[in-house]
This record gives sequence, structure tokens and C-alpha cells, in this order.
Amino acid sequence: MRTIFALLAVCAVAAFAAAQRPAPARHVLAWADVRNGYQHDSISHAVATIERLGRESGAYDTFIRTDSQIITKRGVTFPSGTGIATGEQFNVRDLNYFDAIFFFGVREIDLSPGQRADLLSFVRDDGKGFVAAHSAATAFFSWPEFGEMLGGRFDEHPWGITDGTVVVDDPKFPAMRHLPPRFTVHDELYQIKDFSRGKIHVVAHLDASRLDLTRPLVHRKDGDFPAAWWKTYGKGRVFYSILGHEAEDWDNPLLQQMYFHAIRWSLGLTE
Amino acid sequence: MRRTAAFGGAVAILVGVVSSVVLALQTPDPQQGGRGGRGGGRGAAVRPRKAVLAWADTRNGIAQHDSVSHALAVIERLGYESGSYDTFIRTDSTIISKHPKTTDGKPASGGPSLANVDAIFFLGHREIQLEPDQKADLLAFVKEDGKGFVAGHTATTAFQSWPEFGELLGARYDGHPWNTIHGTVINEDPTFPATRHLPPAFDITEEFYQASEFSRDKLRVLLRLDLSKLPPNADLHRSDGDFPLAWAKNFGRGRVFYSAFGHAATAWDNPDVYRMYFEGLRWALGLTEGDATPRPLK
Repeated sequence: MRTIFALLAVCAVAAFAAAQRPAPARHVLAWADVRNGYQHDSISHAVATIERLGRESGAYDTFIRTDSQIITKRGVTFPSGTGIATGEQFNVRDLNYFDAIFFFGVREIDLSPGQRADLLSFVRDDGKGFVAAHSAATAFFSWPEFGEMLGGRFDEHPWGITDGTVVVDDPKFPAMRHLPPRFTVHDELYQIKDFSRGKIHVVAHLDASRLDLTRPLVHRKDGDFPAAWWKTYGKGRVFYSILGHEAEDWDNPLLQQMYFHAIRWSLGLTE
Repeated sequence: MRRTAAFGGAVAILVGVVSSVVLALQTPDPQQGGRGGRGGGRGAAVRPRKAVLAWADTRNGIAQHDSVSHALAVIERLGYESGSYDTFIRTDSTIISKHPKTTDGKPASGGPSLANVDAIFFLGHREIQLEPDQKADLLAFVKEDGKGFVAGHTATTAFQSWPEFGELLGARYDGHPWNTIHGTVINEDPTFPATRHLPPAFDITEEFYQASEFSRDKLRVLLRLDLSKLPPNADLHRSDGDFPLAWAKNFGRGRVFYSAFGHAATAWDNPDVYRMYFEGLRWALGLTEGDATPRPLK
């Protein structure tokens, strides 16, 4: 055990050194409100990985939240008299503090109309980033504008967890630049609906010839299965990928690099 | 700029891979398969490893420390890479129940709860809204079910209005007389799992929380601040010079570990600190043994 920690210490020092670059700290909110839905076992590992990639590279700092209190631009309120000290500077964050959101929520999430307006405005009007993973496409089915911002909706995973081949369509896009032209993943592959290639830029898709298209839940007959895309929403940048169901998927350097560089792109750190 | 960022990224990946491989090699666990993974997806009945709920409800808004998210991520990584436990990170409190509910009051469809995790790593602060049955479930989780409760730094500021929580944790917060300062820590128990890696005395920069309402009859102090090395301070409230910084105790059938360390995000990059919490968790989970018998100040 001593050896482990000695080596980890070396790693920590290396990471610390890497983080010493004088760069303005960008703030990413890793938002995964799972209070109402099935919590994928991968979510905590995913948000912890996103946090680590930002911290070790120095590209951004991360706030992890599984509640949605912080999704507001109107200041966070809390019951008075709940502290044991008074008169100190309160350290309350709201959306105005953040430069991008990494979203790994699921299904319907309680947001007030004001919170919904602030979330859309965060991207559309403030030009902030929105990077979303996997179950994000199952979120807010009752909220059309969210689907418009994200660019597509979940339409089942007809093959369950399976091996699939991802084909990169745009190797110049920052989140794709480091990926091989084709690679195999073991993941719960989502079928996407309600998207238009006129509105989203598909940068990777699933090789339909490797998928069983006779499965009952396969609804796309043209074989168009986007695996990752980017789009703009007003002044903001949006990225989504279907990948990331299993905790182990987040140990895949290809997937880590895809999301890490997508976040950097959404923050305006790359073009 | 792009080049240095790319280098940083490469270092990050390398660090991740190296530390993962090292941990995987050094911590073989023949009972439990390889590292990573959670023993199956939807509906999996058997959880092959211990499960830890990393709970930091900071919705009460006051003084959320910037270190909290980094601390939660580090706790997750240590468990994941060693294979000792899987972590569920939560900043809400709906799962602090044996019968968790969704926000509209319906039964939750799955996920972590006090019915299926083995320990809590707690990094909350001040008053946190819990229903009376949630409070009862939390106490029973430790006291009757014999599960673990490991808490850091701000935890002593939590639930001031709830006496039983103070009894569970063993002490209350009484300020940080010097704010953040460089100090010397005395290791009172180099045999205990969480402090075994630490020398008899060591220096550290930290926001040392002063504990109050504790009794050495009820907990075993593992680390204490050496007050003789620090300037006098009018906010020191104990006449006997006792200033515990880490302790272990039993609460009913369960195990409790607390340390005051962890104010700054960088504290969680200090191997002395994160190893202490990691080993504290492993002890609380029953993966290791240590003597938590109370003893007086020597």
C-alpha cells in the first residue's frame, strides 16, 4: 500500500505542476439531477472524471451538483437563520458564475419556469456552453425548447448494451480531432429521434451495417444513427454524445478526450 | 497556449492511467473481479463491492467550500481505482432514507439509499433539511445497521439543532481560531488504519477547526494540533490545551471517523490527507480493523 500512495503522490505532484499554468479559471457546472429518475451507475464516476480532467489540465474547475438549486440567474435563496455564524461573506453560486454546463441528468427534472428560462438564456443569450452525455437525451421530454437546444431526443436503445462501431465524420472538430476514423465501443447505444441534419452537425455516427436493424425498437429505416453532434443555440455552443452508459466507458481515453475537448470547445478555448 | 493545454491533457491522461494501473496492481481483490464497473446495470441484484454514498448537500447555500466537488471526486476515484468501494455522489438529500422518494413524493425507482449503501462520506455543512423519518433512518443506519459514517471538515458545523447528530459525530464546531495557518500535528495513534501512514508529528497548512462538546471518554483521538507551536489565540476555548483534529468512535454497532482536514481543494491532493480519509472509509466499511477505544489526553 505504501508504494501506491508514494506513486500517487508523484502523480499528484505532476498534476499539480500541470495545473500551475497561469490561465483564467473557467467554471464548469457538472449537473446531474437524478432525484427523479433511474440513476445510472456511471454518473458519479463520469462527473468525477470530468472534474479530474479539468483540474489536472488546468482548463476548468468543476462544481458537481445532483440537485438543481443552482440552475438560476436570479441568485440562490435559502431560509434565513440557518447558519451558526452571521455577517460573513456567503459563498453562493448561481448560473452567472459558470461558463459551461456538463449535463448528465435523466428524465423529468423539477425546474421552475424561471429556472427553465434562465437555463435557455445561459446558452442562447450569454453564449455559454452546454455539453451533454448519454441519458441527457432522455431529459425534459415535456419541454420542447430543451429538445430544440439539445438537437435530438432519446428513442430507445434497441440493442441494449452491445459492441458498436463509431465512425468519425468530422475529424477536424476539436472533440473528434484525436479520435481514430473508426473505433469500437461497448456501450448502451441510443437511437436518436427528433433531430434534423439541417440543424445539428453530426461529427460521429454508428455504423449501421454493424447493427441488427431487425430489432423491434429500431425505428430509423434510413440507418441514420448519430453518435455525437455539435450545434449552436443562439450565441452558445452545444455538444452531445450518446456514449457513456457504463462506469468503465469513462475510463476509455477516447471517450474522456471526446468529452474533455467538447467542454473546452464549448468554453471557447478551441475553435 | 494550445500546446501547453494539450501537454496538460496528456499529463492528465498519463497520471490517470498510471495511478489506475498502480492501484489495480497493488490492491488485488480476488473476490471481486477487475477494477471499474458496478456489477451490472439496471436491476442488478448483487453489488459485488461496498457502496459509499458521498453526500454533500450544500443547498443551504452558506459557505459552500470550493473544495467540496474536488473532495467528492477524489473519494470516488480512490474507491474506484482501488476496487474497495463504489461511490454515489449526491448533493441532495432525497437518498437519506431507507425508503427514498422522488421530488413529487413518489417512491424512487432505484439508485442509492440508506437501504443499500455501506457507508456515508459526509461533507455537508450547517442546517440541512431532513424530515424526521430521514433523521431516524440516518441514525439507525449507523447505530443499528452497523454501517459506516466518515465525515470531513465542515461536518462538525452540520445539524447544530439536532443533538443526536452531535452524539453520532462526537463533537461540534467552535470556529477556526487562526483561519488557515501552518501548524504541527501530533499523531496520537500510529497504529490506527487511518493514521498509520503518518509520522509521530508532521506539519500541515490547514484551516484547523476547533472542536467543542467532545469527550475523550466517548471517542479515540487520533490526531491533535500541537498548540505549543502556535501563537496564543483568544478564541481558544479549552483550558486543557486539547485540540483534536481526527478521531474514531463507535456509535451503536457502527463506526464513525472524522477529521478537520480538507478546507482547500489542494488539501485533497495531499496524499497524507486523502489516504487518511480513504483508510478511514475502509475501516468504517469493516474492510480493516482498528482500535477505537476511547483514551484520555496524555
